[in-house]
Amino acid sequence: MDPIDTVLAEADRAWRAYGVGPADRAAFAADLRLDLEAAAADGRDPMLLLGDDIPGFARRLADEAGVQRVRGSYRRLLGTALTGALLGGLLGYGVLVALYPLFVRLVDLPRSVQIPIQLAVAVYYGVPAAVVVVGAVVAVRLRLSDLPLIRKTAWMMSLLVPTAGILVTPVTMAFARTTGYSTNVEVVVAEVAIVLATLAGATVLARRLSLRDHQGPSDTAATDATKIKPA
Amino acid sequence: MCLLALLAREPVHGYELVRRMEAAGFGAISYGTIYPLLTRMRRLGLVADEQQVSPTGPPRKVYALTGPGRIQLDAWQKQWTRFVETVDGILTPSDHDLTRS
Repeated sequence: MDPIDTVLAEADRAWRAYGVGPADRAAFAADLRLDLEAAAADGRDPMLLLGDDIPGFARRLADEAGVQRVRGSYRRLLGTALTGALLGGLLGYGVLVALYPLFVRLVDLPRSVQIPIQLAVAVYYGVPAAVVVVGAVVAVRLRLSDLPLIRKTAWMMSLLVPTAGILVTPVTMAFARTTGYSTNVEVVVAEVAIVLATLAGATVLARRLSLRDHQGPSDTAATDATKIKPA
Repeated sequence: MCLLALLAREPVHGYELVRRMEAAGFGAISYGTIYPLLTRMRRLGLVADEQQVSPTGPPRKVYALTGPGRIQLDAWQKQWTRFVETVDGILTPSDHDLTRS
């Protein structure tokens, strides 16, 4: 790999981890590439030019350029969403157990009424799934209110997580079918992992999309040069 | 301040500035140190950069002092001179101190 590309790739990773938006990252990279190419044309090694600590250099550059950083906080997001989903699931289960006898008493369908099996399955699985999603979204919205753009993230989650759930269900069922609907621990763990990975992916995607629209180039041009200290 | 002073002499590109800082006696300075500082000064409007076509290679980004940069450099120079005079006044023993000792 070209040494300049190597440097820029490492710097880009550092900028990304530091919460620098795509537009600013692209501007930094283009600017830096120009200098490094000019230096390389003069026989200077880009790696030696910037020193050993490329991530440190990248962060310093972002600070000095005054970019607005928005961190994804994906680990916190996933942890909170999972906790919210579990609590939502437990709460939903508790409410269902408490209200089920009441429902049966209130809605006593005559045996002549035929409920389509698809509708029954959709209600049977859909209601708990919806409760889990609501738990995750509400937890993210309330517990992570300190994160920027979390309202938009929660809104995107409410769209993407159910969609991901609907999409992954036939995939998981197909997988289960290939195993003969085995209940071996390995198979069940794999099925749970498929579902969780998909939902986690949808959650991360929701965060990324919510940040993307708000990560235009920072207005780093300042003209007030009267209140500064010597560099 | 030193970067601005060097740029006040003539516009140069980034790593040439590093070379001049080293030649001025600041020892080995990484371009990774200078480049963010130039970025800050550009953000503050003290320096401006423009691309110059090079006959031997890719275009070069050349930094030059701006009007506000020149005013700021002047203010810092005065501040530095006052500071040096103050410190010199303390460090240099006066005739009165010498006769007492």
